Amino acid sequence: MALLTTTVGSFPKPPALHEARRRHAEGEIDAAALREVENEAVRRALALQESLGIHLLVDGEMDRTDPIATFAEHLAGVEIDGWVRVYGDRYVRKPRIAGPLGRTASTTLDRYRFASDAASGAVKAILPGPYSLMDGSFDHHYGSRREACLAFAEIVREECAELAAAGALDIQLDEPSAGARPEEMELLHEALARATAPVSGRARVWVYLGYADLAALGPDLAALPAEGLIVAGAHSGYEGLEAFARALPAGRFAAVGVVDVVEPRVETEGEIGDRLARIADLVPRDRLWAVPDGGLRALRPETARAKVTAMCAAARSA
Amino acid sequence: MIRSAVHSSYPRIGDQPWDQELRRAARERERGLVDDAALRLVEDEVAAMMVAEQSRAFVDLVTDGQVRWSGPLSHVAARLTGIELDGLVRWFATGLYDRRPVVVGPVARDAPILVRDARLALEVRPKALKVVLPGPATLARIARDRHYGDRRSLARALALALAAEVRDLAAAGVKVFQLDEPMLCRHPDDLDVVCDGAATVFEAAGPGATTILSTYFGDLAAIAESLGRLPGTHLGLDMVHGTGNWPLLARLPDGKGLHLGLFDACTTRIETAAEVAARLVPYKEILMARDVMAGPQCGLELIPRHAAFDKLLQCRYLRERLEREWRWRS
Repeated sequence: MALLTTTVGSFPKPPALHEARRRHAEGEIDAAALREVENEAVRRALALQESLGIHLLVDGEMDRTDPIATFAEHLAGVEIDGWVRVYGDRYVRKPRIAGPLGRTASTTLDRYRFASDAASGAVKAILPGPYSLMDGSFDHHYGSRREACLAFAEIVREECAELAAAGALDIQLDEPSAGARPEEMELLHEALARATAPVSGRARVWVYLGYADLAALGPDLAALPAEGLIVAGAHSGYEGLEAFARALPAGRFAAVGVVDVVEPRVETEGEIGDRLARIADLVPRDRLWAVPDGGLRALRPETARAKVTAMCAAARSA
Repeated sequence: MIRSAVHSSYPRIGDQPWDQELRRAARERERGLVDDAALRLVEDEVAAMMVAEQSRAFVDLVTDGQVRWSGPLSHVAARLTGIELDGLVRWFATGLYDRRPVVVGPVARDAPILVRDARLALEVRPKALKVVLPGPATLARIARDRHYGDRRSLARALALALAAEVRDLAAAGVKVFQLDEPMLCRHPDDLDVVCDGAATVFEAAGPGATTILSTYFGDLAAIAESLGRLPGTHLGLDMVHGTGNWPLLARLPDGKGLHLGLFDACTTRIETAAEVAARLVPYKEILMARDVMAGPQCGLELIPRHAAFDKLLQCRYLRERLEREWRWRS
């Protein structure tokens, strides 16, 4: 039986989109023209995923410069600060919480609707989780990580409710900061529970845990309130996956990374097959999904395509 | 004596397009549009500019900003024989990731790693230059060891390799060395490993060198009775994320200098020199009896460059304020 496949969210932006963004930044084209180029990039990302037989599709995050800032810049009380390095030569612009957080408009719904209409299969709506929004921001207002986190949880909660009302059956919250501070695991749990409460029983909630330390926090992370948990592993030889998998409550899905998204070398189908076999010893096959370790945005387009192609081929013959 | 000091890294890109040369060059290298030499040229220019920028804030002790570094551990680790790099690992509770070192064979340093960079930085003629190295105990904690089988042996091998580097740096004219051991705050049971490693590395700096054992992202309260064992002319303490360090100021051995992390390098909120000085008042006598360097508690690359520069200005104002109000000479 083939294993199910999805991706974490982002695909590389095509050169035409980079060019359109540059022209928009310099005032040569308006927002509508940029949006049309983004839409075309979304259509192409969806077409690629459909051609590979990926089971749960994503829009490729063509409108996001980075996951946190592009979401937060639409919120009241937020200003976007300067560039900060994340790793290698990857940088993000971090939000600065300058006042009470509030939601002024939908940030995810339009993009989800567009992708859903353009796709022939099921599309997963993706937005940042409340804990990572807090952890990824500079707080100049609340003075309390808990208060800031729960304020973000209210905003994400409204977004999730809106997505579920629009028919989204799969909603993913990105929590790459999960486990960064072990003493805040309860806060992470509480914020996720609050944010996803309105969609309970209506949509399947996925939480992407990024490069969380499974060896130290596996059982705590496995207990987070979600139908599916997505973890990286290909980059690290699956350290801690066993403890995480053992603690995974019955009926929950685990999507485990089988291709590295930092290393440009394309893994062979056989290599990925070996990884899947190893993971399938730990996670029951009917609860296991194959995914890349993370978003594909930092890879060159041809590398990302090759990696996802190999992943899908390996999942088909697993 | 009071001086202002940068901790280690400095943001390598700024917010304006003309401040992003290094990012552009790295991308062009990745796409094969330029060669290594072209990238190195840009790195050298940016490093020189960062030394100049820190000096422009009138900070007494600067670094080259570590602008060529891939990460706090991986840049040096990857240049040692016997070490390869694995996947990403979060750098403590920050938003910065590094590649995890994997020890696959005997660790050694075959060629200088930071000597060329230090020589170039010295050519910019900063008031004083500090070279920072990852500590062997922290490296051994985070690395995946597939060769030595015990952390102590690995740390010892790393210390010997780093000592070779320090010896060459000293010969190149570097007089101030900092060894980063943030893991000591999280694992006080590593005290022996830290002491052995730092003693080996600092001995290579030679007599007269300034040697700073830097700890951060926590405090050393758990080893309060053993502070006298820590090698180095100066002890680096994080007074922001390690509030348990404040009472330790009264328990330090005579003659030990301090490298105090007084400004939070993890937030863009700018502490004023006045508010930081107010925190120091109860410790005035203790501090004035020592050689003190004051600055951010860790590397500044966790915040945007405009905020990093503002923090450095406040470091300078703090030093000026303490000179003026406490009559503390620099």
